[in-house]
Amino acid sequence: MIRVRNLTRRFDGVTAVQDLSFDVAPGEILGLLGPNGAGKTTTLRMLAALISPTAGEATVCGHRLGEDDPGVRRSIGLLTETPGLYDRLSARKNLEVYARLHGVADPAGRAGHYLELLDLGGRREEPVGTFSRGMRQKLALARALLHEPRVLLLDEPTAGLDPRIARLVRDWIEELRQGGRTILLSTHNLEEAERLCDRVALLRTRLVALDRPAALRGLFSGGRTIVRLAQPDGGIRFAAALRALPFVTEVEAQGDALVVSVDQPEEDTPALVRALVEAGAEVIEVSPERRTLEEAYLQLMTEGPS
Amino acid sequence: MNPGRIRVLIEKDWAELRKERAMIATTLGVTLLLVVVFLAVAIYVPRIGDAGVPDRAGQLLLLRQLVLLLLMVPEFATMAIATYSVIGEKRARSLEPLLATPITTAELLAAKFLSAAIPGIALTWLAFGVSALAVWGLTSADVARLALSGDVLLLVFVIAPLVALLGAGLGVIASSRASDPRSAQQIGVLVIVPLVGLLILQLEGLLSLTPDAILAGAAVLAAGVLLLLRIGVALFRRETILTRWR
Repeated sequence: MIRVRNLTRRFDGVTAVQDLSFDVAPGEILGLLGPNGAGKTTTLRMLAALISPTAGEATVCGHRLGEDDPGVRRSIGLLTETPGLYDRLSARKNLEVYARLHGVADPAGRAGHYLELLDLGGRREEPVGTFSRGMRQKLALARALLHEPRVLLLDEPTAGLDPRIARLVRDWIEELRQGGRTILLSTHNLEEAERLCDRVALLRTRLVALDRPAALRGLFSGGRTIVRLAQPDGGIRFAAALRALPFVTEVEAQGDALVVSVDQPEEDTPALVRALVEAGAEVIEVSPERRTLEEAYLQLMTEGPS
Repeated sequence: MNPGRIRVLIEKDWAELRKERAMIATTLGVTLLLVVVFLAVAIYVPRIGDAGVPDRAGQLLLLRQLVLLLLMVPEFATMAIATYSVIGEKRARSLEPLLATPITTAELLAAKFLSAAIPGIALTWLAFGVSALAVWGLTSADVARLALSGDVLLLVFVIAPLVALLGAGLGVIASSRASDPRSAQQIGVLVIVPLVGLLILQLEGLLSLTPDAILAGAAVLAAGVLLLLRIGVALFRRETILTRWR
């Protein structure tokens, strides 16, 4: 649905995005994750045909950037970083203006449908300037959907929202994915990326890593296995038994648990458990070490992928 | 160009404009006051002899200048709207979602030209209507006939709209380039200068606004409006506006 190859954008000698390549499949949510100035908004703006790439190419729903920009704009719905609504106009009028600009057949009906869907029907005639931040964000999201685009570009959709509204917006994004939309989402929020995104692209001007959130976490697990024992001092008591094993590279005792580094976790874990049981340990649980996406993110941003 | 999209944007701009009641009242009030004062001077000041018989030639001379004043009227309203048009969108951060729709730069600017010019044109015609009624009611029939002759009608109904469009164009372009409405207004107000020049030339008897001269002037103005639209499109830096505006 979205195909990006070697996309680069420079502003007056400063590179905002360099050599970015990725694909987004139909119905997929791809998260763009990165610190301020990583190039997330610039990437979304290029894919919305708002600014031109300095180099590289991209297609959105088969429309090529720079060759068929009107086609690109018809195919996408853009949620901008700030809602950019007309404060003096009513919620209904705001949506109707955009529905008509997109050539929607029944602008009033479509605007009314989304206002009801977002629980804003009761305030449809009120000026948007009187709305809370959450209501404005919902309205901006509705505006991006009015023409039923197949691709949604969402720039920080929950930034600055209170947790309750942020959750509502996330639930709605999830529903949109279930409705078959393809979504490219920029966010600072790691929990949001982990919860919503099928894959996450970590950006720091360049693409640092691109994978499923679980796989990104796994990049830094280093094959460590955590063994919990019934004996409260089991960590110290049985560490020596494991250090004797040839495939164990490191053992760390933590109270009733052992954190063990092995060469190949899937092959070595049964032998590891057997050795512990033979040494008299009572094993309660064996699990791979799980790292949060936040830990993986921070490590990737400082060190790059291993 | 898609006229439908231009119309949508004009209607949106006017819906926002209708909320500016103080600005509308001030512009309307000042314009009508100016016209009434000018009419009073033109009709009642020229007198002959102790009996104060109206000097028809004097009245006519002054009333002919009124038309040039009417040409300046649309600039009051037009400049206020035009110079804020793009800056207003920038301030509301509404330009980015707007530019992400299928609207083209030419359609956007054409809409802004028209949404700023049309209220000014309406104001001119309103002021002209008031003036015409006053002239018919308060002067003799021959003065009224000469003061509201065909060339005057050409000025009001052909030249005034073109002047308004030209002013709107300058104002919108200035608005797309400036970051502050005041600096945009300073650039946009330049359109008044040639009109003041015309007024002086006519007062000095160096210029006669014949129908042929007016139509030739209209052709030049129309070409100027189209040229201004093209220049506006060329100067509209959507990337700069989106990435540099803070």
